[in-house]
Amino acid sequence: MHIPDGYLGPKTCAVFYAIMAPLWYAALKKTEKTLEVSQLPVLSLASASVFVIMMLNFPVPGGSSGHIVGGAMVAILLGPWAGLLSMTLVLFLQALLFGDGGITAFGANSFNMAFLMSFSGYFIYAAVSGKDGKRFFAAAFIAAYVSVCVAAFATAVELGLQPVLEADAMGMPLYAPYPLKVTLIAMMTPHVLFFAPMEGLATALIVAYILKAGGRVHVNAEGAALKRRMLVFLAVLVVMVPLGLLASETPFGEWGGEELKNLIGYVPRGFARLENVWKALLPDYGFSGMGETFGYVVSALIGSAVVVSAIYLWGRLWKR
Amino acid sequence: MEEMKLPEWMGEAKAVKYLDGIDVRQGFMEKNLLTLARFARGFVFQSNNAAGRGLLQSVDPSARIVGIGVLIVACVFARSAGEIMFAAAISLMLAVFSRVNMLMLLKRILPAFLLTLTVFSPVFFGFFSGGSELMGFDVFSARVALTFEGVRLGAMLVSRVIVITSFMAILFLSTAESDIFKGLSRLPVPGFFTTALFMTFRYLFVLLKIVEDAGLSRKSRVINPAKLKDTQGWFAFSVGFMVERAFRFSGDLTSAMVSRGFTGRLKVSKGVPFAIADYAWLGFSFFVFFIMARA
Repeated sequence: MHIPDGYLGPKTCAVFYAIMAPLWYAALKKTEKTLEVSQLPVLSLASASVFVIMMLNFPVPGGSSGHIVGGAMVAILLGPWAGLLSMTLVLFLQALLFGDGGITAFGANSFNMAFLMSFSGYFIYAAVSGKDGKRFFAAAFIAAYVSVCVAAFATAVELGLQPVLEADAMGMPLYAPYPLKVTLIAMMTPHVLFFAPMEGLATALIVAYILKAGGRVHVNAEGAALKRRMLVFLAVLVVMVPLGLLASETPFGEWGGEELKNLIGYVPRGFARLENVWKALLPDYGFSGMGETFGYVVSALIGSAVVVSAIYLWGRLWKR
Repeated sequence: MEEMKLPEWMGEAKAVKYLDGIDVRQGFMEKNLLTLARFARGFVFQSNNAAGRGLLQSVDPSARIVGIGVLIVACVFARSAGEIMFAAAISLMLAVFSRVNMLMLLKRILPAFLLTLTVFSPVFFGFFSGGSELMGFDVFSARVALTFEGVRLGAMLVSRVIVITSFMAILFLSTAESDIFKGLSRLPVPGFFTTALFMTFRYLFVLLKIVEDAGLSRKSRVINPAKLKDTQGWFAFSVGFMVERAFRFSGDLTSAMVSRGFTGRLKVSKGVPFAIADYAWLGFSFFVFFIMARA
């Protein structure tokens, strides 16, 4: 389920970083409130546990095996926000140290495995386990099962939309080349039939062991009604996000004057003036009177000089 | 006092002949645990040229991370085979001038190469692009053939992934783990995140050792490989046990940190300012990025 670098185009990567940034911020703030001074060790050790769990193979009938993701498990134990952070740490380390999952696809992987798995797993567990928490085994199984399927579905949609979103002038795909109907079948079939039951069983067994050993889980049974409502919200979100990606028009906020006129009926005066200034400076990344390639090189040199100057200034201010 | 020496056979991992000559095979769980633990340690702590003299080693770790990150993003923007070859050439030059061990580099790239080649293999046969046939064969009544367009598209997709993986591998092989975390802490990443990341990395191997020891203690008491249900139960036990130990650890760790004055607020060292070499490296990375991202 870890999407490597080079499978998703820049637009998709940017969208998922933009989606995850406020979620990471909110998770940091929420976790600070709930875990207080112990937040750092608890989160670090929970993340290390999930990392190790991901490395262990769970045996299944037929002599085969597979590793579990642990997103639902960590959310059940720590809560959804801490689960999100914990999974984010694990995914980052995996991408950095083991090359498991990409750096550019880190936003998308975090969305699938840290956000969707933690939240869907947590709220399903809260809804199914009941007020007294007696149905914990079934709840953990269903929560983990559904959370894996949700994450696999999101991954399939992200990969399957690439040929639509990112193709060259000839219509050839530039990144993951398979259409949605192929990615959905390829991702969902093994996950629904094999990996999700395995994740469900392993999670249920682990939660059962922890509860029997006197441990406790995060879910507060009294808030179950609220959590059910949030579950509906989450389901709506899961449906809406892939639809947003289908838009193949100009990205939000990158409209030209003509497009803006079509959208809102007029072009604001300030916008028109600024648009012309920018074009006069670097029209299409080039300069009038220069060859196209040379123009690109000069534009790139200017661009990199501007960025390095900005970093230098930031370094000076940071030092102070 | 004379140093005690263990007989050689005790150090051999596979002294597994039972009395009647039947192989006592390692159980499924034990075998996986040992293999994975060995792989993880070998992968992370393999000797590299992090401390040596080379191009990347002369750059500040945070500038190194940013520069490699920018080159990776540039590769994602590449839209033609020529641009990807350009990035591949940069990656090769970086590896050579940073004196990275080429065998280790290949070892790190190989899994990504094999995975991507497998995943994208239908692309080479023109299932999604069509095109003119290069060579093929008949399977029953269907024709399976490599097509020119398919091979071109497949090669581009696979090579992009390989080049990106090679940049990551070069970063890791030319930078010590501690420098990677130090470098990250100087970037505009929340201090909480980088500290938690470092602690996760440290305790990962402690927890791995706990599970490994649990596996070893079980192996020493059980001769025959266990049944499926038992191994599943043991998996749950060892993971549950590890999680429990982890939470207990975290309590002890919090007490230790609080006793040393930790109040929940982190102070991150700002390090030394960038040198000219760092700015030159960043300038080069962004130059490549702007060249590649022009489309």
